[in-house]
Parts: sequence; C-alpha cells; structure tokens
Amino acid sequence: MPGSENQALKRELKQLIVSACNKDMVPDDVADDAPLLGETSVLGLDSLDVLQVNVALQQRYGVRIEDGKHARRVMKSINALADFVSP
Amino acid sequence: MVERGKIYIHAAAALAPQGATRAAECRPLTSDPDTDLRALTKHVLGQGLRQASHFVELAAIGARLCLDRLGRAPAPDMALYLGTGLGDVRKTASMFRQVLPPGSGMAAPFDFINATANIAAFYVARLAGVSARNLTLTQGAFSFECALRLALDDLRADAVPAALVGGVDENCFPRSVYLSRWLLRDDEIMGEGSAWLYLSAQPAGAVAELLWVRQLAKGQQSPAQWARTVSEALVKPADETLTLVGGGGLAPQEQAALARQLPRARWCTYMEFCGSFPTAAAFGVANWLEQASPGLWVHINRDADGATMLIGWRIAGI
Amino acid sequence: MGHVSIRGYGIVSAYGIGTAPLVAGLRAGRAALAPLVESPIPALRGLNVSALPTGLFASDQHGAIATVMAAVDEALRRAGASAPLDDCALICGGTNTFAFAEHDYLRLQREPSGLRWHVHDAGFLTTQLAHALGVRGPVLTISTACSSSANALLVARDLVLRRRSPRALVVGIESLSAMTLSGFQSLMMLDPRGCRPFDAARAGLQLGEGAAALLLEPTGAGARVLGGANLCDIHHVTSANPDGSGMARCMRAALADAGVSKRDITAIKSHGSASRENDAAEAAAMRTVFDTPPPFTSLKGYLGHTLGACGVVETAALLATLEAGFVPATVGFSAVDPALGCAPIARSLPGDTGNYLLNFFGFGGNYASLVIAHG
Repeated sequence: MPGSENQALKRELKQLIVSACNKDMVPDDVADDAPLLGETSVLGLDSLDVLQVNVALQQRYGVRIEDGKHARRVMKSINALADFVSP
Repeated sequence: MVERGKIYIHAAAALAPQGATRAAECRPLTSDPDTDLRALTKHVLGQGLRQASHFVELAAIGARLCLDRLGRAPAPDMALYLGTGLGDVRKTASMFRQVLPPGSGMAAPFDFINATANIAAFYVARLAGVSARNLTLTQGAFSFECALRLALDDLRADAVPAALVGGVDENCFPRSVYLSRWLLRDDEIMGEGSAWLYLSAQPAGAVAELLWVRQLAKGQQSPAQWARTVSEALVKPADETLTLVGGGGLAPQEQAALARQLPRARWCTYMEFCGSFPTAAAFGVANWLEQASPGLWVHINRDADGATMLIGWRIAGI
Repeated sequence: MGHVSIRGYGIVSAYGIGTAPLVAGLRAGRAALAPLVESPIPALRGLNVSALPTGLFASDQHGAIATVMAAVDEALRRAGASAPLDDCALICGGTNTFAFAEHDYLRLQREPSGLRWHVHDAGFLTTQLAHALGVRGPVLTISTACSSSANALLVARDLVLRRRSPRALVVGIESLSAMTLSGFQSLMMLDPRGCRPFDAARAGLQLGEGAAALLLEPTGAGARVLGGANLCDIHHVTSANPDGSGMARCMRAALADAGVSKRDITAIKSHGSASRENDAAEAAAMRTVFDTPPPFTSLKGYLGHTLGACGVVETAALLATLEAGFVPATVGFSAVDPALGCAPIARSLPGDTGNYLLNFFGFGGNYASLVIAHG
C-alpha cells in the first residue's frame, strides 16, 4: 500500500516533523494534503526546517534526499512525504 | 555633556539560573539548576525561538531585560560583545552523541547551527534590530571581563557609540559532560546565567560610571601579598565607601586577607544565587547594580592560573 | 584610524608547512584537494577536502598546538622576532574545540578504562599557546564563525594602535573534524567534488584545515593593515541577504576606516565560499560598492574553507603570493555565471603594489572586511 494510504505512517510523520522542528502543535493539526512549507502553510516550515526534517527522516527511515530541490518536492504535503518514505 | 574618556552604565540585567529576572527574586541554589526557558522566552521576548537552543534563549532573555530597562531604543549602531567561557555546551554534547559512533553519523542542522558559538549574539542583534560590530569572545574565567574591557576600549576610542556587553554560560547534564569543559569542586553548584550591561559615553540617566577593567600581573604571592597588590590598585578618595564583590575564583584565604587589608570595605556575594560558571562575574556586577548604593564598587576575580582581574564602577551619591 | 604593519606571517596548509609549498601550488594553479580517507563516519569518506598532509601532526591537542607553533615560528622568523613574547598580545580566531573533543571522545571509546577527558574550555588552545610563547600581554579568543580570525586581526590592530600592547600575534587554526563535516553535510552545503567559486555550476563548500599566524607592530617593514570593519547582517542565521546589502555595508565601512577610496582598490580577495547563495550575495555586494568590481579571486579552491582560521590563513596566503609577485587565479572556477554580472579572475595577475580588500563572511551574519596595503 502506498504511504499516502497508510494512516499510521502519516501520523508518525506528522509527529516527527512537529517534534524535530519544535513546533508548538499536535500532529492532528496538520492536514494530509495541506502544504508543509512556506509562511502560509499551517506548519510554516522554512528552508532550515526542511534540512532538519531531512536528517530526522534519514535517521528514522534510512531514506536519502539528494538536495534542497528534491527535499522541497518530497515535503510538498504529508501525502507526498508518505509516498516518498513508503512508495 | 560628554566628558572625554568617561563611560557610563545605563542599564543592567541578570537572568538567574532558575529564571529569576530581578535581584530581589533570586533564591540561593541548593542543587544544579535545570530550567526550561521556553515559557520565559515567550514571556520576555513576546515570541518563542523555535530553532534556537537553551544557550541562545539565555542570551536573548538577558539582553532583552537589559534593553527593556534602558527605557529607550538602543543606539542604532550599538555594538555587541558577548563573553562566554564555554559557548553552547548542550548542543555541542548533543552533536557528539549524534555524529560519533554509536550515533547515526548525522548532525541535526539546528544543533550544528546553535553549536556555532556566535549564533547567540546573532539572535540578540536581530531581536534588538542592531547590525553593527558584533563579537563573541572567550578567555576562560575572565571571558566577561575581557568582553567588558574591549567594549570600554572601543567606547573610549569612539569606535562605537554604545555597547551591549554580556556574559553568558549554560550548564549541561550529566554533570560529567560539563566537567570535561570546566572543572568544579564537588561542593560547587553547576550554574548558568546571562547578564548584560548597556554602556555609552552619555552621562544623562546613567546608573553608574564604569571606571576600569584591570588585569594584575600574576606572580607567586602569598594571600597577604596579593591583597596588598589589589588594594594598591584601588586608589580612591578616603571618604568614599568601598564595596567589594567577590568573584567565584576567589579563595577563602584570599578574601580573608583582603578583608584584613581593607577593613572598612563592605563585602557582597552572589555565587549562591547563580552557581559556578565562567562568566558568573557578569551576573555579580549586574545583580549588584540593581541593588546599588553610592560609592566605589569593585568586582574581584581570579582564574586558575593565578591572574587577577578587577572591574571598577562608581555610583554617585544623591 | 592609524595603520599597523604585518611584520611577519606564517602558515601551515594542505600544501604543507610554510609559505614555500603554498606559493608553488598557487602559482601552478593546483588545488590542494583529495578525497577524505580516514573518518569515523563512513558517509564522509571520499568527500574532497583540503586536509593537512597525513602524519604531519598528531590529531590530538598536542598536534594542534604544534601546527599553530609551526605557523608562529615562520611568522616570527620573518619578523626577526623570537619567543618569549612577553611584550606581546595573543589574539586567536576560533576555538577548534570540536576537533580536540572529538579526538578525546573517540579515544575514550577505544580505551575506556583509566582515561579521563582533558578539560577543554573554549579558550583552551589560546591559553596553551600563551604559555608556550611566554605571552604576558592581553590574551583573547574571538569566536565569530568564519570571520573569527579576521575579527581577531582587527581586535589585535586596535590593541596595538591604542598602545594596549607594543605588538600582537594573531593566530587561527581549523582542524577537519567529523563534527564539522557532518554538520555542513546536514545543511547540504558541501560540494563533494571540491568547490567552484562564482562558477555557474558552483554547488557548495570544500572544507579545509590549517593554521596561520600574523605578527602586528605599529611600524616596520611588511604589508600594512590600513583598516577594516566588522558587522552583523541580521537577515538570517545561516544565509546572507541575497541583495548583498549587508556585505556591501561591511566593505564600505572597511574602506572608510582605511581612508581608501574604492577606486584605489587593486584587487579583492573575496570570501568566495562557492555556496550558491553566498557567492551571489557577495557578487551583488561587490557590484553595489564598485559598480564594476576590480579583479577578484577566491582562495577556497586551493586551501578549502578553513572556517574560523580563514581570516589569517587566507591573509597569509595572499601576502605570500603578492610577495612572490602574483595574485592567484580562482582555481575551481571555469564557467561564468551570467546571473552574477561579474566573474573572478581565471588567470593569475601580477602582484602589484596597491591596496587589497579581503572579505570574510560567516554564519550568524558575522562579516569582516580588511584593507591591506602591499608594497
């Protein structure tokens, strides 16, 4: 099953982002298809957060993100991120 | 009127390890303090510093308290001097756990950035909206004294219009990790703190005049000889009250010798409120500036090498 | 403000001990670049870095002190001075604590019993050096990331000009450590093949290690420090304001402090780290200050980015090449980036008498620029 259909994985990813970036919110505040990056998104992650999440993802799932551009594509939404972690 | 060579302290603030922001709120420590500063950061700064570390929070809160007490906007070209003996020890330790075996080999970006010693001074500058001279500096137990001396020199040379000078150090757990950076006796509390002074050549509204920061040559001296050397460095008008503030590097027998040498001097202490750390002197000076009484004040400190540094300031009578 | 003389300089770099091998390498346009062989972190092996020749110095604190002492010896020899330096100040740029502690940490894991950590506060190295050199003047460590030792030079200049000390020794050292490499890798800031400053395809930093020393006196033969500036760009914690305004302000303040017109700058030693954003900001800044920038080069492709030490390492390297008669070409650069609107020198230039601007820009927006007169 693709990651975007795995509710447990998606919850885990939300938790990972919130805790890696010291966000003052609960995972349920993040919608599956809402944008993660930029000031207008709920999480409001910036370029430094992307790097922080990237290292947390590598440590947890062993996935490898090549560069900043790749990272921004993968972190478009929780659904996109879940599909990347578990295709 | 600006008088040539005279430099004044306009505001002072000391953040104590348990989060006390005023001298009157400080309580003696009974164990190594482990304080979460996130709530206080939001309270004092009006915002959290999500990507920053405890060390940065310490620095930012202390600096803001000082600027708030200034009661006006700081000079736009105010220079910033942050003295620290150890820098961000917690994030440095965290980097080791992550990077070196058996860690994952990867450093969390937030930790790496915060472990860079000058990041705290960056946050302080950004929060204050100042983008002039900005230096983070270190010299063991005299890290604050050296920062203050450099700021005083820069102000006297008219190289900067005003200066915000801080002494910031944090503790870390377990204590054994801290001891690899800074030696403590078993009976010493592993303290932390962030204390700041705002200085300029303008006399109006000043709290005190900063007179000098002096280093005495080290030598093989008995406590009595040392006390004579110190007292000779403290030339003052005979009728002026002298208050001595003893730093953490002062041994009991040295303090006793100095008390014999200068029997009329008042003594003030502060280490019981902040614990031991390299820049505790900043805490002592700022803490006692809050409870000031007129006269000549001198903070006396020694390092493990036997060198002595003195900070002198004068509070005018009413 | 007044001037001070750089009476002597010395360097230990990826080319080896002293200025001679460095000048030969820079004259030939040869980068001191090789894949990292040894690292406790497998993922770091193979990264191209500018490391000191293997076996030259031990990787512990004694090795670090010996590295700096080799640079100091050369600087003193050039100046005709010798230890003890009892009338001298010692100002160190950077702390090198990662490297010390890393060595101890790994050793402790190998031999867990009977060993204890050395106590390394942030000023440890400076204190050791002060003892070894018999320094009795002011001693201080400046820690402002990649501008550390450039700022150390400015502090030392002030001590000499204000007669706080008859002379001052400025030193910097950077040792490659897994901590630093891994940190920059996490920030996706390293170019594994080596750096390409101001190149259209530039893709990040090449880290290096080394040490250098400069002896400053009020007068006497040698290049002169005419002025400089240190300020803080509060745009972002790790990236420069892309319009280059912070860097431009720093260069202008340095020119003003030196009393030198922008028309009187012969060439610029840029910071030129080969980070995409920082090179763009620096190019924009040079165009802001100079309209058409004078010839500029970057030394990062030769020596790697020596971080806290680059202020003295690159100043010493530039002085050595100028004295040898040339301004080194920008190794690693080959394709002009049209977006920058300017390009570094691809061939070396004659090391003419004149005023040189040197830029050093670090994390935390801490910038330093120096103006140095040669000849």
